[in-house]
Amino acid sequence: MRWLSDLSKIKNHASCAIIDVSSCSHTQVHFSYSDLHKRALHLRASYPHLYNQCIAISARRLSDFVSALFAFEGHCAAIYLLPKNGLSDKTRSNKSIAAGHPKQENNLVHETYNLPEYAQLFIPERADTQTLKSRQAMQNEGLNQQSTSKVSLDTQFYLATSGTSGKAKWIGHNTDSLTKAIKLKPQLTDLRWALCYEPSRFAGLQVVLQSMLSGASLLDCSEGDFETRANRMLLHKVNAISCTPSFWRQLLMQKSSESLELQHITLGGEIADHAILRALSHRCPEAKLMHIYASTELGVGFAVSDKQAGFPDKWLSEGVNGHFLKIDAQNHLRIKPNIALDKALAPLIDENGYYDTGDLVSHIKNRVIFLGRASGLINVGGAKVSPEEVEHVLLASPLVQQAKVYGKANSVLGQLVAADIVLKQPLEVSTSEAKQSLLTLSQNNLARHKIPRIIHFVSAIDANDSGKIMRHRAADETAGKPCVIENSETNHE
Amino acid sequence: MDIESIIRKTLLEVAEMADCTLVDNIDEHTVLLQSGLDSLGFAMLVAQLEEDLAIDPFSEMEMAVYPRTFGEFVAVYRQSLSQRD
Repeated sequence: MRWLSDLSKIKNHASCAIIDVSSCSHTQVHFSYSDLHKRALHLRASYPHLYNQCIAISARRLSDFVSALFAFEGHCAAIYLLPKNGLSDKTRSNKSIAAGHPKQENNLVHETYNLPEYAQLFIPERADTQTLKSRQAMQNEGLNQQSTSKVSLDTQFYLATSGTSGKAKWIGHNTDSLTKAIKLKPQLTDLRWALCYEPSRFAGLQVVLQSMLSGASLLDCSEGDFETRANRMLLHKVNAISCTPSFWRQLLMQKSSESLELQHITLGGEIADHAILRALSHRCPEAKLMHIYASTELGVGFAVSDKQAGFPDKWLSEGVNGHFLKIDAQNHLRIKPNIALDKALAPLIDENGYYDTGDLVSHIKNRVIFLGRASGLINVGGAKVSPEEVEHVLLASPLVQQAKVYGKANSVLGQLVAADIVLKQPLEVSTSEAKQSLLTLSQNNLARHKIPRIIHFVSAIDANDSGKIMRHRAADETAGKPCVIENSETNHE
Repeated sequence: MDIESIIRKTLLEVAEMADCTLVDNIDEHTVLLQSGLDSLGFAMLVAQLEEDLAIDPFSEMEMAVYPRTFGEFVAVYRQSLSQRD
């Protein structure tokens, strides 16, 4: 037991730990550290059979998510973190799969999320509260001792990578790798964090752990429109926010955000560009401002706090935070991390231990600047789009001879999906009709953020010797522009 | 056509493409993110204006300004175009 023990050591146990917000009723419920500690203890004591087992947690409320996380860290062998809205109401309301039932009753969930068959689904809001009550009444002081009597396990946490389609790919972390970047200074207890990410994702989990383990407060802002979220932040005097550059831009457009007295500003999930860093620095000159390079695979790589885009090139020779960095011959950033990486990543690690991040970079003067993903993956405000998926849809049109899909730099969402199209000849419709036809085809087959918003008709598309589209061009074309954001799958959190 | 008219025309086109329903009577005081255009629609508006006007003032200005109202949005483009001319 480690996190649960840490929770009990928060000095001001009565202070507000979490403010839950219901997206339907907008009601808000406060939980103190004492509340959370008791709930976590009760959960662990109520489910002794989950000791050394593998579970998959899906919680709609932040307080439930945190309670379960702290209850089962050190208790379960492995924990898969499912998205909070990832289960249907029918599944959630099914009492037979509330907690600890194996695959045969949960085939659909296991298949959807690519879970191992031995993983037992755990839905905290359906936890056996009768058991909790009786145990609470019976055990009181004895509860703590009973629930801590077993040897604490090195729980493996599995987080889904931010893929674009298909089944989830899970990357394993242990407690140490998840908490490597967590800061525990006394003054951090005064921070009131807003959680703007999905908590089951790496970026969101970092915000949860940073706030909870340091004794700060955490307000759930992971849902709602920007005005609602900005007003909620103001109401609860939020002074620390971690979110994507796209989120920040829209937050800065809210009147109420002008009144936030921010002390701690973090950007991640997309490349932080010069313009947003300058704007935030100007708006909150006293705040600690940093953009973080991290990913589900790598964990937290490094934080850049000099208010400039990219990172200082001296880190290539000196390393940073115990990581060693280099740029390979293909201009990919490679990192030799200070943690052990998931074994599934072995093919991406060279003989010297450097992991290929897949991020294209450019060494310009004394900075290393991020250009985007080598794979051409497009990042629309944090949502990832595979160019191949969009090309596949466009090529289904009888009008299209060739299609190349890429990310076009956009000052609102970082990137939008753009497409260069070679039309079949002779063309029997006008180009405007062809454009409309492709938009309709895309609307019928793609999610909104994946629809090409900029379509150019071109005479040819560059391909390499084997006929594959030259994807690096898109990143290269935007590299020279200052103050724009290019794509990245990696979470610059 | 003056810049405000161009932006209004583009706004209507983008709203239809983005499947957004605009509020009635958008004026200079209308808050952009309450106009009916969501963040994707707003990004599309900026992208389409860049296609048509060959200018994206938000990526070109030294100190980024994030307009709150439709009036502020038009003013950013007006100022950016005047500097280009």
